Amino acid sequence: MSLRKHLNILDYAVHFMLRRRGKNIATVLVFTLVVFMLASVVMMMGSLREEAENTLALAPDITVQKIVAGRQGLVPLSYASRIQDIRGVSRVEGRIWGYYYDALEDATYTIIGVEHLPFRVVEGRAPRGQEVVVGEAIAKRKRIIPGDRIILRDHRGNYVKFTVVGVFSPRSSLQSADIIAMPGSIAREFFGIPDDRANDLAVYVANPAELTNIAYKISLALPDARVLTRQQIRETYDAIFGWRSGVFLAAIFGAILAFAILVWDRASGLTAEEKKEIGILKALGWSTEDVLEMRTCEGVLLALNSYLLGIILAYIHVFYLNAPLLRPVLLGWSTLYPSFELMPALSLEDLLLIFMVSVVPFMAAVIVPSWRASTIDPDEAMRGV
Amino acid sequence: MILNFWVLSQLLGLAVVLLLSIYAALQGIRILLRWRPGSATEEQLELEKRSYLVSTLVQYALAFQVLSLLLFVATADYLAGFISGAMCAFGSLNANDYGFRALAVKIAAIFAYSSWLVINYLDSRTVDYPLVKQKYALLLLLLPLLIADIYLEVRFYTGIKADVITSCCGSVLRSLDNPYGFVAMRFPGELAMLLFFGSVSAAAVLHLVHLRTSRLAFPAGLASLAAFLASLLAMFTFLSPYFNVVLFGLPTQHRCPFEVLRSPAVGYTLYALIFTAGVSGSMVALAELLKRKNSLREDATKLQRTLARLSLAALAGSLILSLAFMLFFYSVVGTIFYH
Repeated sequence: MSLRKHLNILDYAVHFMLRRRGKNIATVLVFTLVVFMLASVVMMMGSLREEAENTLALAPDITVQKIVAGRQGLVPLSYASRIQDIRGVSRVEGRIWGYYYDALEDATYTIIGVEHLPFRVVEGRAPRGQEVVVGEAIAKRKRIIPGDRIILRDHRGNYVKFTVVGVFSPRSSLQSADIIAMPGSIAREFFGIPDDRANDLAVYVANPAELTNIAYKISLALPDARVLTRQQIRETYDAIFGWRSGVFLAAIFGAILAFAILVWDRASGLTAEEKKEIGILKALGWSTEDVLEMRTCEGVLLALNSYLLGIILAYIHVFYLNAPLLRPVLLGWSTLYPSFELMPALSLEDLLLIFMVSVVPFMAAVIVPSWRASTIDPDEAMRGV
Repeated sequence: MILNFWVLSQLLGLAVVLLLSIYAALQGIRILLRWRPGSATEEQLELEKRSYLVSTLVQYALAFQVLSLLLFVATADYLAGFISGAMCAFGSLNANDYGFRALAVKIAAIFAYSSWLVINYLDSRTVDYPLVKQKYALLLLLLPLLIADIYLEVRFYTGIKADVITSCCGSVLRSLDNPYGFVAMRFPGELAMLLFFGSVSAAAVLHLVHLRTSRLAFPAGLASLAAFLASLLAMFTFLSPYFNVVLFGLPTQHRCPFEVLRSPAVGYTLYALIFTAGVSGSMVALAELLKRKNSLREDATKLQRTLARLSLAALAGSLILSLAFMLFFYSVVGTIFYH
């Protein structure tokens, strides 16, 4: 019986709103826009985090770089054997990799030398001899499928022909999008790196608990080395994403405040007709609480509809259209990458977060106006004062 | 100091709650000072109108506080990515002294706001408003609680240092000589098990007796509160591994109360049941207190019975859910007792 009463009030609220479509549509539009912007940023951040997490799963435990005069230089392979001597290190690899500017496409690729590919992320097979595996974005851009040839210009200016034997799978596109993988010896020759040097050293540690300790020992043994653990790289990623989104969202907070003021203003400005209607309801026996509930239902309906609409639009914007509005803001380094697709990643917590920042301020802003509307004296309202 | 979207939104939410509560408190003071029951002046009418506003504000504040609790745990879970050694919310909250304190204050705040709403609900249904003074005095007490909440949370966020290694559930909640135990509290797991099943069944039985005979409402309310605390304790000690093993295939040493939230359907249902049972159950005792006022008796009894039924259902629900997972665990591992 009491549920029935609440349903009737809800029903009345729906009709009350539908009769004032024009007034409410503007609010819904602005509200949807606010949710849309917020949700786009949150979804994009979630997706990028997921990406980074996926790529980091393949990163070595510790990366050792050599610093020459404050800049990164080539690491002598003799360092590798010194690191290998540290107790707890299971494997050290000299890595060959570098950037390659493709004038034709006006894009920068990353060429890496690999002996064995992490097969999980590859469609096709590992490259042997003059063969390469390319990232998904490159394959798409240059319209390459396995079996095709690509021509790259090496450090002497000679054009070298490679056969594409595989494409990195899109599951980890953030890092593999712009990658061309070729055998280590071929990459060394391509970049002209001396035989006793490498770009950096990848160190693998048997027991993850010893990681920090081993990293410390390496930095003691090799004073001119920069030692990065996977955890540090991961924290850097998180910090960069967090900072970028933080700055952007700080700007959005201003918009939310403006929005709350707009809502307050619109909700307080009751038309004479609305006042009259509430007055009649009260004269018919509605209590203040009933009217308040009706106004609250109105606010909740408005908020939930805009919230859902905003979320759906943001989902389409980010995961189907690849976030054209946000990409330039959030991916400062995107010029490095030809293009990559954002993978859908949206959790319940993300939805809660967006709710907290959009619906909560909105509902708070309509409390006082709703209360004011519901405590109107019926006689005063019907007289149209 | 960590300042990102999650933290900012959490602070924004709290700022909204604070604004609402301060506004409510200001109205409350005015009502407290000027309230003249029985007088028919315009001011008294205005104050009665304002009491509607206050109750709406507190209702919203409670709703936002519940959201804020959920978001706080989610934020802590998210922050685990930045904190060395933290794998989930447990590690983040453990990163400094303020994490778990903030969580405790948030939970206490939910009980406090609910109590206020029960008093207000009953009081506003009478003609003579017998509890106005107590009600608005209590309202002023909610404010320090909220400020403590905000203070602890800000201290928590500012105190997080990415380079200090924290201990996560894997290391804190495990010890070899005390297989079910919560090491941070040195609490024996067998005792936690006894407390959990004992208090939950005691609360359920007392509610049943109360519903049948209209007696023992106080013991039932207190038992509900005890069952609530014992349930949280259980999640920190022996109960969570059953969920973690069955849902995620984690080792039994993984005694983390937050892990279960990674499976939202089970996790949030479980915690919703525990909180519903605790809050509505303990409000039964409060309603018993309020029954002493003559004009409140009828409504208080009605509300009390509804709350008791709700609490009973939620207690049964959490018990069934826990037993079901213990049974699943048994079918997977072959024993209920893991060592």
